[in-house]
Amino acid sequence: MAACEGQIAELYANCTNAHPNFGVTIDDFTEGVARGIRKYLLKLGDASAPSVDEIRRFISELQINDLYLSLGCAAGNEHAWWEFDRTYRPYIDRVARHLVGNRVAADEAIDFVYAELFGTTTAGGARQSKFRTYTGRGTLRGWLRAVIWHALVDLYRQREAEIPLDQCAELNEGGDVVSTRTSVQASEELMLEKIVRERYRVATVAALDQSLTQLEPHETLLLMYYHVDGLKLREIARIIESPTSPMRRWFKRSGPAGSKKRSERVHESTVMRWLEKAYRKVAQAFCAELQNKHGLKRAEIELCMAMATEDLGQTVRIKSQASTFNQSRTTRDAKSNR
Amino acid sequence: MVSPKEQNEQIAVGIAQRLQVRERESLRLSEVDHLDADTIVAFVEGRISEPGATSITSHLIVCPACRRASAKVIHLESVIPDTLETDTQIESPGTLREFISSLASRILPETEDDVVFAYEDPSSDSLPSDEPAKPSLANEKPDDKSSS
Repeated sequence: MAACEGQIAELYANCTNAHPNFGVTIDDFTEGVARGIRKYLLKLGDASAPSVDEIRRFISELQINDLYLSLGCAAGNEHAWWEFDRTYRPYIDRVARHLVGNRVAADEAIDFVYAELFGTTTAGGARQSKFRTYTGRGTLRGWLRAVIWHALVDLYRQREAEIPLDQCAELNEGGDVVSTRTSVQASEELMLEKIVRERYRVATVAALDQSLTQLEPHETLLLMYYHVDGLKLREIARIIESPTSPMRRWFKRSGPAGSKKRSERVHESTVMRWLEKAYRKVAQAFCAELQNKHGLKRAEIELCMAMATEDLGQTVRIKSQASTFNQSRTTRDAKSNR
Repeated sequence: MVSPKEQNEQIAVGIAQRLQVRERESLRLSEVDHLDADTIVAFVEGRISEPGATSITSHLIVCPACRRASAKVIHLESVIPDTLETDTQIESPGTLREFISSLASRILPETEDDVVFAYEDPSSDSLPSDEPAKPSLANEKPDDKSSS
């Protein structure tokens, strides 16, 4: 850190020239930068101590103006707050309205977010402003999106008895889950069929779980973003598009050598191809698992493959209509990208 | 005989079903240490290098709450324009002063003393600025915006 004092002082000077009345001292500023270094280079970095060059690069990548503003707001400086409010309030409004649906609830949510940002608790005599957790590694705007989401989840959890989470516009979309039990059939014939079916169901679930473990973590995350969190291909493409995205690095690394330039744009069709590659990987592992471990024949494997599209977990999503939704989504997205 | 394309579609549906079931099961598990907003946005914006990125990915796979938060950050970025629009209705810090004062009266605090301490102590103007608990919102006459 000592070797980077000059760099920090220069950045500080630029910030104070632009906003001299935010009340941020050089010590506050240095501590703000140091917090990010401790978190991302020491805690989340590899075991060895970062080199001076790594620290310098890290500092140069910080969203320094955002960090400076957040430090002023954390200290309760009125000018910093005014600047924050002027710049970000309309954005916070839009995000909150998008998430909660109606204006009254949105206004309440915005107040809650501001309360979090300002700090409602004290520790050791110091007000605990949420701004103190911002390190400037990502953008302040992106950070606000996450803070608003967290605040809304907390707000609605507090009031779960009054307002169920699933009544909140986006807070629980896709969460309308009901339990449906396969009705018990009386006849022995059906009972027998049920037992046989259960055997295949158990094998299908086990094989599917096992084959999912064959995926790399970034492939699993891709599948989850797409199938569980409902992100669209273009949304996934957008995060992977960032040249520094770890997911981009992983996918490019596993792709054909020299086939794409690192700076090339990631299209939705590319994400679809990655998804399809993951499907193929799982399908192959799934069939092999059923054949080798469970001793099933081809016809039985096909039966299990068909069962995989059914309700294996005794629960279905009303909104998504389980398989039909997902199947149509996969097919539609695939078509739209061809 | 199922074609490779049909097989791919079937397995995609199967994967989706299974992941959703596992998601619900993991929601019932005990709370784990969650990622904070700063880490989530740093990950989503591609600002985390190895080995941190791998450990965060592994966390996102097993923690629905954090993954959902990260998905929301991504989704919101795509649906809400990222323009640097400013609110022209707020013309001076005085408007904000009123807002924060009213906010403070609702949210703060556990004791009456804290309110006085945070908002009405004239001496707070002279406090060093690294004293975060003592903002001077109600006392300081703000400079004109042009000075900033």
